[in-house]
Order: sequence, then structure tokens, then C-alpha cells
Amino acid sequence: MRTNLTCEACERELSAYLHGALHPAVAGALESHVDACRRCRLTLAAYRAIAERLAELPEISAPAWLESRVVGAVSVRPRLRRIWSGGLAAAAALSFAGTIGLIAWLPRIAHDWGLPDPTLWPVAVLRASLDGIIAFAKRLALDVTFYEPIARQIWASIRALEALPRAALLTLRTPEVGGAVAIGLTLGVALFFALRPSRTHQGGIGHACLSL
Amino acid sequence: METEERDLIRRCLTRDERAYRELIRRYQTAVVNLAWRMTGNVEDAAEVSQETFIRVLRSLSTYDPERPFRTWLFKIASNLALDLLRRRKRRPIAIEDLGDEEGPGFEPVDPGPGPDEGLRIDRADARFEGLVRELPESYQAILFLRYKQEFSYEEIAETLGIPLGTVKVRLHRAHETLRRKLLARGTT
Repeated sequence: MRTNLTCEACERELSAYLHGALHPAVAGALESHVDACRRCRLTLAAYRAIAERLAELPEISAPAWLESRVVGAVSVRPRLRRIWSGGLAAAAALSFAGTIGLIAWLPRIAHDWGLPDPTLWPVAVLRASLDGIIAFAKRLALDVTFYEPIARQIWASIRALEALPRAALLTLRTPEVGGAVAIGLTLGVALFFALRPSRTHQGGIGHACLSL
Repeated sequence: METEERDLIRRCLTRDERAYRELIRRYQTAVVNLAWRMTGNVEDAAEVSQETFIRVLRSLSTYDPERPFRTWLFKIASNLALDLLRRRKRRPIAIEDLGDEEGPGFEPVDPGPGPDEGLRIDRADARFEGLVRELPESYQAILFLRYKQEFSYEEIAETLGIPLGTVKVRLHRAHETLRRKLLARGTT
């Protein structure tokens, strides 16, 4: 006796039936239909045979180099990154410490070596540069009087600008401001590198700066 | 997920090279074969497998341990295989091309659990293999996951990123196509 399941509907469900993926009620209806329908019974038998052969399909093996290549690729990058990060951290810490030390000890070094006050160095450099330019123009036998108005204007601009580095250096030389700037810079750099996304924070520049 | 596998993944997260190797050894055959079924070419399968494991090991920290690892792994592999196919716009290979497929470094492995079986690809097996390879790559991937990896329909759907109904329909069509072709050739 056939159920009200059509052969087309039955066929659509046969592979799911083979895999046990049907609701028990549907599976029951399908079994009833298959019992009564020779065509669907043959199709189910064919599907079973195909399933058995599919389960026995040959496989290829992985290439012998796969393991070493993958491990090499995933291991080298973090190691290089650690070395690079460590080197960069050391260089940054050294240069930062050197800069702070230079600012703090520059006036004493200048005094010991008989050099002028460091706050006057930028002015001296600018003056020397301008003198050099004028001397060069004279050597070329150019009409300096023609360029004099321009030279005066440049000189006036330099005089206006020279106040800026002088004021900055004088401010830094006061222990309170210099200390605050050094601490602020250190913390800023340390926080930047400590908070940046990284799998391993250890050995980063932030740690090196904080350890200073 | 079994405890052993969970422990292996935890060790991989600590960048333990031995754990990397163990994980690769455990899944390499399955990944290579899934990629082979999808790309139809052993060199492409090797390339996809290499990229899959590199990606998996580099992004292991994003893996959710509550979900099955192999589903996540195969999903990455199938996406990479599909990307490669899109880039190359490759069509499935024909039966005539079979036989020249296996390049250096690839050898067939034991297909089944039978004690005396070993590797035995006779003419009928080769013909059947050829019929399977005539199916679209997406069908072959489903058949591989179902019959070689014993994935459930839900796992197949998640791995390939397709609806459950599509898995069911494609499995039915794959069986029906194979049945018709076998009938046409006078074999079952």
C-alpha cells in the first residue's frame, strides 16, 4: 500500500533519510512509501551503494614540506618582531636619556669648555650664517649695496625669531619646568607604546621608557 | 571539544612550536583533501592548505573555544579555496584530466579502515572518482565533509556558510546525479 508521499517527494528525502537527518515522522512515512514502491526502493538501494563508495573515495596525503613551511612562517615573524621591538626600545630609551641629560648638563659643559652661554648659540649660528653669506657675496664681487636692503630685512627677521629659541631654552633651564617637561614626555611616550595594540607588551618601548 | 584538543590549542596560543606541529599533523590530510576537492588540483590544494594553517595559527586568539575547532578550521580552508577559484576563475576538471593530477610530494593514503584494503584504486574506483570530480566543487566539498569527515548537516552548513536547506538539496542532487551517471554507464 502506498502512502500519500509522492515518488518525487520521496526521492528528495532519500539522502537525508540515509544520513538519519529526517524527522522520525517523515522517516516513517518514507519507509512506508519505499516498502510499497519498487522504484523508490531501487533508488534507495542505489543511493546506499553510492554512499558506500563515497565513504571509500581515495585521499591524497599532505605534502611533506607543509608542516615545516607553516611553522617557519608563523615562528619567524614574532621572533623578528621581538628583536626589532627590543632594539628599538633600547635605542629610544638611550636617545631620550641622552637628550634630557644634554639639556640638563649643557650650560655646565659650555662653561667648562669656555664656550658662550648655550642660550646664545642659535643667535650665534644665525649671525655666523648671515656673515658667511655676505662674505660669499663680496668674494663674488657682487654689488653688496644692491643687496643690503634685503640683507637688512633678513637680519630683522632673524632678530625677531631669535627670541623664540632663547626663551624656550631659558624656560627649560629652570628645574621645575625642565623636570615637568621631561616627566611628561616620558609618560606620554611610555603610554603611547604601552597602550598600542600588541600581543606581547613585554619588551616594548613603553616598558623601557617606564623603567627609566 | 575534547580536552586534548583544547589543551593543544592553548599550547599553540603560547607559541609552542611543538604544539603547532602537532596541530598541523592532526588536520593536514583533511585540510589538503577538502582543498583538493574544491580546487581540483593538488598544487592549489597545497597552497590553500599552507595558507589555511598560517592563517589559523596567526588568528588563533580570535577562535571561540565554545565552537568546534575543525568547523572553524575547515571554514577558513573553504573560504581560501573559493578565493583562489575566484582569482583563477577555474572550472572543475574533467575526467580525462585525472591521472596527471598527482604531482611530486603527494601520495595516496589508505582510503579505508579495512585491514587488507591498503590503497587499491581499480578501474571502477577510478571511474567513480572521475564521476565525483565532474560534480561542481561545492558539491564535492559537501560530499567530502559528509562522508570523509562525517560532519552533520548543521556543521556542513556552518563550515561552508550556506543554509541548511542548501546542504540537503545539494546532497540529494549529488546522489541523484551520480546515480543517473552510473546508470547511463551501466554500473551501480
